[in-house]
Amino acid sequence: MTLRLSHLAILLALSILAAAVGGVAATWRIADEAFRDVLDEDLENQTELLAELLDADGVVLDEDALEDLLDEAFEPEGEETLWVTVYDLRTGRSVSNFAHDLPLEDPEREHVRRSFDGHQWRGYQGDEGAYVVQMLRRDDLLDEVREGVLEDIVTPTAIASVVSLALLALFIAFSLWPLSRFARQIETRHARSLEPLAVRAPAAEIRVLRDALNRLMAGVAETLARERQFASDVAHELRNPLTTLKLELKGPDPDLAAATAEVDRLARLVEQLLTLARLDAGHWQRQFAPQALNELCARVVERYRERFAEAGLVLDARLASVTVAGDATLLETLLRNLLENVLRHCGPDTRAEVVLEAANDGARLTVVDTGPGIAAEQRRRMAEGFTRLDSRSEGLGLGLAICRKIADVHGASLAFEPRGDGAAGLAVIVRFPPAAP
Amino acid sequence: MYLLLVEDDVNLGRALVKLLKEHYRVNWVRTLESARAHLSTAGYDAILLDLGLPDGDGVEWLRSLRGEGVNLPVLVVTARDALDDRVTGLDTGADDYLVKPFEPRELLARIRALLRRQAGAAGPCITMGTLAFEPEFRRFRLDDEIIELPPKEHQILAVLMQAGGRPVSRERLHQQLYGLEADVDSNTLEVHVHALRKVLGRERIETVRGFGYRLVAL
Repeated sequence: MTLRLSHLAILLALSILAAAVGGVAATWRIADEAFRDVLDEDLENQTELLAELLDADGVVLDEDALEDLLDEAFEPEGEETLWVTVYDLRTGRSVSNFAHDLPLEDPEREHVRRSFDGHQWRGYQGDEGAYVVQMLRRDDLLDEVREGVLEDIVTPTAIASVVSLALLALFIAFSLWPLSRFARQIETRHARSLEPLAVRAPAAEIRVLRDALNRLMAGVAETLARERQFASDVAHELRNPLTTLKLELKGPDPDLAAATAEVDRLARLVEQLLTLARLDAGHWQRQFAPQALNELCARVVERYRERFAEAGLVLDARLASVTVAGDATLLETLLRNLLENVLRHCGPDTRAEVVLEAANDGARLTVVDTGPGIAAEQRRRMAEGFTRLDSRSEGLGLGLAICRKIADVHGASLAFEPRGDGAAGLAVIVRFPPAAP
Repeated sequence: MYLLLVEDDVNLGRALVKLLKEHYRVNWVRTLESARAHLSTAGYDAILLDLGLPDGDGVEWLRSLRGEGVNLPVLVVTARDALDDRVTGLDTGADDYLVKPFEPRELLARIRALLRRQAGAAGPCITMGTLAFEPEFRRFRLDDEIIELPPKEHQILAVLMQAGGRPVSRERLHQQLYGLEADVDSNTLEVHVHALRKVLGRERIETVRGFGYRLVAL
């Protein structure tokens, strides 16, 4: 089942109205009943009281005195709203606070309705001995009171309902509409457009959603830019040897040695691309086993020492005993790539050192050299994942991309920093995560 | 014809030079810095420019060149094949744009087209009066007769044709024959000009005193 918040809002508005109307009606009905009961009971009591007083032993009341009494006692605040009549069954005469000679209709009835003086009257009738006392209240008085009561109930309810509906409208304006506009913007947007969404939203929750989406899109845009850059670098790396091959092989005297060198270069590139593709495919962690990193590094360094010497460079190692969970082949590739970089970028008389340190926050593998170093701007770009480092004829940025991927699958980070001692040179630092307890 | 090749890839540069030097005099540089230096010392007829260079972007350099009013034909030769790259390259002032990998024949044809346009000819032939040059076949015609010229004379005449009647300095012609390294005081240039005049007629090549030579349309 799908739920539309706008439908929910309409339901909420209807329920606010229903609650208001129903509440008023129910309150009114109960109040009216209770009020009527109280009034009826009051009349009944007064009637009984008067009847009993009249009929009490030894009370002799002449009609004039009775009339005065009724006039005075039952005409509150000058309003003629209470009509009292005393009928004497023995004489057949009646005394009332109003001048009338309406006959007694049915002495046995308790509840009485009469028409008089253009109004409806209703009330109670009680008999005691020879007297029948009839006490009636004018209907319009009751109506007036009821209107007053109704007004008093309806006013606050109506105000509360209006406030609730206004709040509901605000809620819709601040949340549902921006949300719909937001959704429309996303819907109508081209899949490749990763510009930030611009929705003015007063509600913090929607701003949070918008900002989160914009951050996500910025991240995606950055990743895409990196991938595009990578593809362009790869194209560059593949097209140069291909062009050379074409030129050599279609020329008048093909240089087969040069052509072979280019084919080797292509083969290396393809090999590196395959390594990258395999690294992307994942599942490496499943094969991870504890590796004595110091022994692995020592082996690689031993193999490279001679090549460094041939190129006039010096390679040293300072290896603490460190074990990390990982894949031996990948870790070797990582170190080999870092050492190849030193060979490629540093001239003779460069000293390079492979340093392995154990620390509480994880092991640290550093390859530090006394070469020309890398400018801060380029280091920043490298840290952002842009692969292109130089354009020497050797395959280049792919080595860096491979190093980063290998570090990634080991949960390690790859950082390019200047030498700690202020001298020229580069320190490439691989920080491994602390061993799992 | 004198070309400046800006290409940082060693193997590709080597192969390109091998191809181009069959047809033109070529200087090959691998950085923008040395491209700048070369451009200020020699008179080139065209530049072949790779874009991704170690010390900067070729497009930016091209922009600054055009800003300085350098009108040399520039052929961008690059691995960047995205439409945006090509459009940006051409809009920045490249005269043509060739994406790697390319056919050697296509590169040569495009260079010829650039040079022809530079000499003011849209067709396959550059003419000066009754003298005509067909770069595609590397031959000259005088009064519709093909004339055979030794390589040095051929080069000198090609440069003069390319200049289209404008005077060409002795240094420029000298560089064409011997490159940047040669001693400019040598008088072998006069010898070759003299030989050319014998074939074409004396009045076709006019000496511009204290400067060099120019071709006269007859």
